[in-house]
Amino acid sequence: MNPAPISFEHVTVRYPGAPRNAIDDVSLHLSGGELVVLLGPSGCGKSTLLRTVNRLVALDAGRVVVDGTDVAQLDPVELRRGIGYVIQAVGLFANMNVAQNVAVVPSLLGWSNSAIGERVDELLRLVGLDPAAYRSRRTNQLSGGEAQRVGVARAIAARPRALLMDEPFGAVDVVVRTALQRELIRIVSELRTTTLFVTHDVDEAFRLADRIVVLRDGRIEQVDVPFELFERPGTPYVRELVHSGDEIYRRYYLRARELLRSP
Amino acid sequence: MTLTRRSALGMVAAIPLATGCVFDPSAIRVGSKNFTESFVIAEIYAQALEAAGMRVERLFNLGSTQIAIAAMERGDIDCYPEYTGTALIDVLHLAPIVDPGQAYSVVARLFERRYGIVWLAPAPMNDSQGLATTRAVAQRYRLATISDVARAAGLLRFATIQEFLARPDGLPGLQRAYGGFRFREIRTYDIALKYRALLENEADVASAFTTDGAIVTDRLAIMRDDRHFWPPYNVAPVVRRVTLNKRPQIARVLDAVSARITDRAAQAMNAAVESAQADPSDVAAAFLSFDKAGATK
Amino acid sequence: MNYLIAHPLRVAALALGHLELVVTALLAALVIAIPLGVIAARRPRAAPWLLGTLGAIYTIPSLALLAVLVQTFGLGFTPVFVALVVYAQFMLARNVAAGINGVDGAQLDAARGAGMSPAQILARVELPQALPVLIGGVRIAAIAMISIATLGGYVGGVGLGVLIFNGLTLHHPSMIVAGSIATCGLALGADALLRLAEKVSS
Repeated sequence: MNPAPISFEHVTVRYPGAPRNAIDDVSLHLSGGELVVLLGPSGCGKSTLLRTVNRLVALDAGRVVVDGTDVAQLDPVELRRGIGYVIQAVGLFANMNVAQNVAVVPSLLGWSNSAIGERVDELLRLVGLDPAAYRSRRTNQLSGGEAQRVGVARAIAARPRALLMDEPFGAVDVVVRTALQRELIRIVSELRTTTLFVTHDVDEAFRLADRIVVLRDGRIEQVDVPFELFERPGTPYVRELVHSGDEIYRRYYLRARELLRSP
Repeated sequence: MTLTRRSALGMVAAIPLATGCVFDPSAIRVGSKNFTESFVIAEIYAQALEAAGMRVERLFNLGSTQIAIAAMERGDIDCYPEYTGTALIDVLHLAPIVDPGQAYSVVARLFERRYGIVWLAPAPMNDSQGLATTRAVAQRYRLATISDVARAAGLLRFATIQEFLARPDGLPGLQRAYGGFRFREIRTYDIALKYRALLENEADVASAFTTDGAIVTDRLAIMRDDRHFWPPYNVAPVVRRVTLNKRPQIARVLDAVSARITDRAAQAMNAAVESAQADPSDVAAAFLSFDKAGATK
Repeated sequence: MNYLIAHPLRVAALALGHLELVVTALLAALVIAIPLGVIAARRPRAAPWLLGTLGAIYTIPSLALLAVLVQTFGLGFTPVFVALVVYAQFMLARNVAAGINGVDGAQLDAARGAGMSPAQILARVELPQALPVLIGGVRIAAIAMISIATLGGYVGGVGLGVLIFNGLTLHHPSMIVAGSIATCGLALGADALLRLAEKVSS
């Protein structure tokens, strides 16, 4: 995988009839291979910002550059085949089995059947599912956690340059969520994909992020590595959000990150 | 869709094309009007053509004469059984001609000229129109001829079909030719029910066809046409000229069967269908096979 | 009942003609109704007008529509075929639209995000999932069409309606009964077959 840098340059998005911009003049740069978390309450614009990368949302101003190219200059369908996309509701295609779901993008790209077959098995193993057991399962025979694992496998099947994840673990229960977070860290570090991850859960942000972007009302409050956010919050909002200065939280965040990254 | 689903759909779509009989331009389309005798004779024509190796489509039960002629003109049917008297009066709107041969040649000539329809050989049977009463009514009012009925009409209840009240060779024509015919009461019935009205004493006089099966088997009397109001009604196959040009053998086949349909044969076949509930195709088949054996019905 | 027993081949031949009429009309109707259903699904504001018009057409008495069609097409197979295609539109288009609209929005979002073009989303995600609902519509349409196709005996000399209308003219109740029983049999058979197809497809 070639991890692609992603840049937002003065990006503005306004929905018709809305009182303010959904995204207001946001500039941000992600280096290749980073896992950056967009953190904020609902309505802060984090999902909108995410979806400007694969052009599911159109810009009113500014540009988004992936791997050196302005996405507006690419055919959107082609662009999306090169970028992984995972959503909270997963959206597995009910008329296809697990293998066919995972194979969607390679099949769109015209891979050979044998290449697809191998890749599907490889991916299922990567996300912790036994290919023999899961390949032919129907989507309604999967638990929430299993479904999202398939969703992740589908998103990275064609070795995308970047990975977009919109609150992917929000709908699974807490125990499963921790397992999935651990898997994600492992996968992302193995594959070194540039990953943009949206969540409203501060804990999750602290566990996963290389850097955290705190968004509020369409604007960036602060961008920093997790502990800088904690030690040196830029605004009262951020301070309250991450419980700056609270020793118990510091230990909790530290410990959680350790556990997630231990073998 | 997977490949197998697509091919399944394709196969389903191919069925009608494979069976090939959705549109068959080579078939001869035989029509009939909407009464028993027309069914039977049309069926005789159809089976005779099939026996000669031709494919036949049946469009029976077309309705009135007008519908049948329109269907011929449009090419929806290629042939059907028509009556010389009906053609003369209902279609060509001419005065009745008493001589059967003359009536036939007039209609044959004019039909070809005006409609491109050819009259093949007429059958000997004469399904003339008439008026029927029960023997009891005939005795009570001393009815023997059409003129008798014309005079006594004010006392009589009349049962008929809708077409008879409108046809030039129906009631309007009788009124002009004989005078009188102001019935005490007129009621229209379905073509097969009007005899029941006579027999159940709901009516005194009914319009009739002389080869109707009901007349043979029941206590009915036909009034004599003393002023020869009605022309002969000989049935013959009428065929579109274009069809005959393409398949001239049709004439040979139909002429052969047409010549064998006598009054008695017609009456017996009609009675079988009407009273004994025999199927017209069975009756027609029996007619054709009897004839081959040389026996007459 | 007597007629059915006495003339099984004749009834079977007419049944085959009846089936041919209905099957070809159904296929032709699908060719028109599937695009109409897709349009109705894609344009929620136009949908009530579109489906409403088709529904209004459906309420036209079949005999009246047939009389008009005979003026244009003459007697025979064609006017009945056209009438059946027209009547089937409402049930089929409506079910296609319902089937497509029934696809989960998350799947559509995931499909777009994965890089499917609108045509690919239709072909690979929406129509396959609409298929059970569509087959349900085909089932209902088929049964209605088997019934309406009896009018083929009135103007076309085609199908089991021939037995019914000839039986009426000749006053042969057993013919009418034979035609009716056979028509019912076709309808029940079509229903059973298509229910199976519905089950298999989902």
